[in-house]
Amino acid sequence: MKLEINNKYCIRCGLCEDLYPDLFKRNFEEHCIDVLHEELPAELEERAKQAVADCAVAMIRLVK
Amino acid sequence: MGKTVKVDVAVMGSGVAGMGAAYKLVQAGVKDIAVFEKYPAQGGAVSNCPMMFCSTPDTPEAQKAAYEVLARFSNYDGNMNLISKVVKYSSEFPRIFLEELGIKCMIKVDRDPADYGNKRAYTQGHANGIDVGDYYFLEGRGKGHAMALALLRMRINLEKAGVQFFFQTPIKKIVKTGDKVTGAIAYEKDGTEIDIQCKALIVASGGITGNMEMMKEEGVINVDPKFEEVFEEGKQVLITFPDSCQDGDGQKAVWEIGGKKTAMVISADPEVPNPGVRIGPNTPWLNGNQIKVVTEMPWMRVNEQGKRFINEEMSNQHTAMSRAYCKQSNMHGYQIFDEDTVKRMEEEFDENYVYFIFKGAKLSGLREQMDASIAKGNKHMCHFDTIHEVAEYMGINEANLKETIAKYNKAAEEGYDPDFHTDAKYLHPIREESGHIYCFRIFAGAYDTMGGLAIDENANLLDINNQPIEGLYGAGDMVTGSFYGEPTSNAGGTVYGAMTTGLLAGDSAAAYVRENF
Repeated sequence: MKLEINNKYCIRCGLCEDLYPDLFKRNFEEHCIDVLHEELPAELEERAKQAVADCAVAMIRLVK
Repeated sequence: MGKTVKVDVAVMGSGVAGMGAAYKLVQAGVKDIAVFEKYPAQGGAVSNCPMMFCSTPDTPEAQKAAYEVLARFSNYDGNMNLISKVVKYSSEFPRIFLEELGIKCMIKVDRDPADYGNKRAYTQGHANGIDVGDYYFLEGRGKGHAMALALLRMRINLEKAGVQFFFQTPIKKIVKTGDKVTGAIAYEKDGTEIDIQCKALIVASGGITGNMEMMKEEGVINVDPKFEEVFEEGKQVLITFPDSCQDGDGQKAVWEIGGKKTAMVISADPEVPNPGVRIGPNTPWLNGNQIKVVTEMPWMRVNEQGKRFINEEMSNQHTAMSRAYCKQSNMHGYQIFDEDTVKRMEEEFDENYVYFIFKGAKLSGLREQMDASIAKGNKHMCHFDTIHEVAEYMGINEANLKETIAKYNKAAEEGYDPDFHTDAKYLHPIREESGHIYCFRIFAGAYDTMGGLAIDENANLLDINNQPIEGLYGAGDMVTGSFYGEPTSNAGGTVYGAMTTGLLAGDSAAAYVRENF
């Protein structure tokens, strides 16, 4: 499983990083949000699901 | 080889103002519209919006009452006809945001127009807003989300209507042919030049928050203040708008072709710099940021000279507080309180003062949070047994501070503050006998900037002779001085000024294109 952000419509509000600093990090160079885990560790899957639900603009996806 | 983009109207910036302009252009039937944005996403400073908007109802009583409050607020320095138009456009907000964009309103507060101007700051749900209408509190996950979502939906609607968006493509130059603006030059990320040919250009690129050098040059930041580093990106406790692309491109381009230059000011959210603790844009709305919560409280503030400088009731008015801090030596002030106050707040925040501190909330672990920051090298906060130690550590004039505290304590005891008229309920004595003294050094953090350009009542940008520049319009933070007064004194955090001027600029540019081409 991995997390994906749709950068076309992500508003870069940073809520995901504020709530889930173990999953996301703001990238000030590229003006985007970096997903921290290329492959999501199993123990973070529940948090990742919450992060998907918490995105203000529903632009985070959990994909296989 | 460069590219050419030929449109009827080009818009510089996709924040609240630029999107409002594009929206009206589409409504007015303008066919070819292009929006140029420096950032990779739309929204500008919208994530710095409050969780509400204010809208003046379209009734003669409400419109007149709002007009008069704003006219007085501007000290009759704004464009009075522009004020009436801004007020009128604000009455479109519920239709645009709630009906068309589907943003949900949790609570609507209906106001009696006779009461406009009586409420202040957070009592109306917005730290910097002006009390000129009904309040619509919006559903959202955090600060600014409702409005950020509104602008995302607006972009999608505009794209469907054929508006072209160019992201990471800032406009840097405005092209004038004779007296008319006929185009602009933008650059793609890889440096490719875009020759924009247009009949009208709307400049709505916001403040100069991302450009430290320009902020110094223009006097927004005092040159070389003692703690200058706190104004650098990433050095503040709370950066509501941490990834700014607002570099003053719009102002510079307009000045270059003879545009009128107006004052620029900082308008900010007072903060304690806290580099050791990672706190993001939404943190005040999350649990656990005790330092932020405390610095919102209306307790005693002094400057480096150890003197009070403001009615502390204004603590929930970010614009007022940050401007007052900026006026003090080295652009900061100090908040001082004692252990009794901390203990009282550990039972409950009794002030019922700041809207995001909900009833029943308690202060907890303040000293631990301070110690954690201090251990990481934070020099902007301290707690000691004595006032002497606090003054020495923070570099406050001790003799003055002791005199100020004695006077303040007397005011607290008598329930009357003859010097600053702070409400007696917010006066809490500061006593070493309580066991401990706390102090924060507070700056105008999380800053926004406003101003630089002037518009007339049609949102036409003015030249140095106060003449409108044909084909050139302005909107948003950069022109809000034209109705809030000079220098501007209302934060960009409100859509009231930015969206309205955007709507006006869109309508005016559409009319100009229709009538002249």
